[in-house]
Amino acid sequence: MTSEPDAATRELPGGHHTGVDIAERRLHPAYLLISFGRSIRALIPVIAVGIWKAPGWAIGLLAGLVLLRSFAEWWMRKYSVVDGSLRVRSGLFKRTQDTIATRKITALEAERGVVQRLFGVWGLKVQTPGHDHRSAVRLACLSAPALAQLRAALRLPDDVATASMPGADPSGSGEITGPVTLAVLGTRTLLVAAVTGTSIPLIMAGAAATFGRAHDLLPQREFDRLTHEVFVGGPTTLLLLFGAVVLAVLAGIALTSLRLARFTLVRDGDRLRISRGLIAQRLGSIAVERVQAVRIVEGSWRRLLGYCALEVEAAGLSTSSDTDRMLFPLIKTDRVAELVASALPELGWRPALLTPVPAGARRRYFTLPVLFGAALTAGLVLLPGWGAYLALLPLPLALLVGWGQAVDAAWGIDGTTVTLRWRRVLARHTVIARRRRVQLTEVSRTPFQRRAGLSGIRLRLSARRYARLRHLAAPDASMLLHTVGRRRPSTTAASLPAPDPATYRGR
Amino acid sequence: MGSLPEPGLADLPGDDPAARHRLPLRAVTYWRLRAASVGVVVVGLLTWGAAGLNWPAPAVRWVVVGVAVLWFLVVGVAIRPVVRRRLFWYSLSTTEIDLQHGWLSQIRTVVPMNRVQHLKSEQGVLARRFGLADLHIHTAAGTVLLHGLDEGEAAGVRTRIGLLAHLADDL
Repeated sequence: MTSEPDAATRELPGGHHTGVDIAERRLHPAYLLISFGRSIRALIPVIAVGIWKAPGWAIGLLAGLVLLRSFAEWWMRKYSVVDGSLRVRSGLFKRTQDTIATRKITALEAERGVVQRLFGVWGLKVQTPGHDHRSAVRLACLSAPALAQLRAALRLPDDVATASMPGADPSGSGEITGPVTLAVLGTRTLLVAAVTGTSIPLIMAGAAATFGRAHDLLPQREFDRLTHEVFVGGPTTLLLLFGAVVLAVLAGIALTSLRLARFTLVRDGDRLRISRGLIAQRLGSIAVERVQAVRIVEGSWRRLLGYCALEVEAAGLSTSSDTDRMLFPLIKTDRVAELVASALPELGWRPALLTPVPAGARRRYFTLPVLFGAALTAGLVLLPGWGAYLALLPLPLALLVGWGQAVDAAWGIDGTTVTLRWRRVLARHTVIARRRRVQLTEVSRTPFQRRAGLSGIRLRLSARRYARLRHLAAPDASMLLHTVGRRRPSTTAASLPAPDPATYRGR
Repeated sequence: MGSLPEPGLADLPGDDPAARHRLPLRAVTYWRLRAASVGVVVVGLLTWGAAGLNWPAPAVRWVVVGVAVLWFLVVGVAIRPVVRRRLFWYSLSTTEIDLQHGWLSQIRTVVPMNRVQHLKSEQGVLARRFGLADLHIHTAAGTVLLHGLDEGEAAGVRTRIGLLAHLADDL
C-alpha cells in the first residue's frame, strides 16, 4: 500500500489538478475481519437452522468460503484519486469501477462503530447529487492517516474553486481559514433534546405495542393473572406506571446521547465539519459551496421552550435521515441567526420580518385539516359505546392545526435568499434558501385558487426535499417564480441559435 | 422584502404566448387509448368482483364499479386528455425550461438549464404508432416530464437542452 501522495500531481492554471493525488491502493487489512464478521452476521439465520445437524467439515467449509470471499473483496477493492476523480474498482467476477469527479462530491462522512474503533479504522461515505439516501461510494476500512489523505485529496478542487469565489472567506481576505469550533452541544441542551425529541414517544409506543402483542400471544387466563398481579390497583399501579415512564425517559436520554453526545460544529475553510456520537463516532463534512439552504425546525414542545433544530439542505445528503442533514440538533431560537452567520456567511441571510399570506389565503389553510378531521369524525362516530365520544376530538384539533398553519405561513425575499415558513402538522419549518441554488420552482393553481386569486408555491432543493406554501397571493407566487433559481444568461449560452417556436407548431 | 426581480430576469420564456410550444392533437387520442386500455381492465376486474363476491353489500360493490367507470372511462378517457393538452405548454430559452402541466391543478415549473443532470426519451409501442415520445428531464431535485411530444420535436428538444445544459455546471 502506498502511504505518500504521488509526486506526479500537477497544478494547472486556474487551480485545476491533473495527475495522481493518491495512487491505487487497497483498504486497511482490518477489512478482512470486519467483512468476515458481517458475512457471518448475514448468515446467522442459516447457521441457526443448520448448525445442529451440519457436520464439522461443512461448518469449516462455510467459514472458509466466507473468509475467501472477504479476502477476494479486500484484494479486488482498490481506490485512487486520479485527475481530480475518485476511482473505486471492485468485483471478482463482475468488475465494476466507480468514478466520481471530486467537484461533484457534496458531502463526505466518516464514521466508525465499536469494532472499527478496536482496529483504529474509519468508514467513509462519499455523497454526490441525485443519490438520494444511498451514498455513492462507501469505503469501509481506512486507517486514520489514509482517511486524512483521502479527505485532503477529495477537497482540493473545492478549496481552489471556493477561494476564488467572492465572499468565500468570512474575513474577506481570500485565504482559507483554519478550523473554528462554532458550537458544542452541552449536557443540559442534550437533555432537553432527549426529552423533547421523538425517542421517548417511540419507546412508549413500542411498550404499548409489546403489551398488545403479549395480549395476543399469551393465553387469556395467563394474561389476566399477570395483569392482576402487576396492576393491583391504587398507589402501586400508579407507582409502576410512573416507573415505566421514568424508564422510557432514561432510555430516551441514553439513545439520544449515543446519537448526539459531543455534537460539535466546526467551520474549516470551505467546509463544515460535524462530529457526534458517544460510542459510534461520526465525522461529517459538507462543502459550504454545495449548501442550498438552511432549515429551522421548531417542534411544538421545543418552540414553547424557545428551542429549535437546524438542518442544511444540500444535493446528495440523505433525504430520509434528519440526523445526516443536521447542522445543530438543538439551539435557542434567538441564537440561530448568530450561528448561521458564523457557520454559513456565504448564505448572506439577513433575518427580517416575513410577509404573512393575505387573509383570503389564510382561510384556505383550514380546508385540508377540516376535511381530514371530518372524515376521522365520521369514522369515530361508528365506534361502539364510549368510543363514539372520541368523535368530539378531531374537528377542534383540525381547527387548531389549520389556525397554526394559517398563522405561520409567510415568505420573504432579499438580494441573496428566499425564505418560506410553513407548518406541517405540529412542527414549524422555515427554509432559508440561496436564491440561485433552488433547483426547481413550481407554482400551482387549482380552479378554486384561481377564482380567489391565489396560488401555491414549491421550491425543490434536492430529491424529496422542498419548501412550500400551499396558499399565497397569485402575484407574489408569480414574482417568486420569476425571481428564484434564475441567473443571467451566459454569453456562450446566448450565442446558441434559438429554435423557431413555429418549427413544431404545424405538426 | 418583496423586492422586484433583477433587471433582465423579469421575463420567463413562457411569458410570451407566441414562444409556447403545444402538443400535437394526436396526443389526445394517444392518451385516450392508454387510459381506455387501463380503464377497461380495472372496470372489468371490479365488475367481475362485484358480480361474484358476497362481500361487501351489493349496493357498495356496484357503487365502487360506478365510481370506477366514472373515473377511468368518463374522466380518464373523455375529459382528462382534452384538459391536459389544453393546459400543457413548454418554452425553452438558453437558460431555462419553462413548462405548464396538470389538469385538476395547473402547475408551472421553471427548470434552470444548468440544473439539468441528464435527459431520457421514451417511446412505447403505442407511442411509436402515433409518432410521439416522452422526454424526461432529470435534475438533482427530481424529474420533469414532457409527455406526448412529437418524436421529431422530442429529439430536437433533447439535443438543444443537452447542448445548453453542458454549458454550465452548477449544483
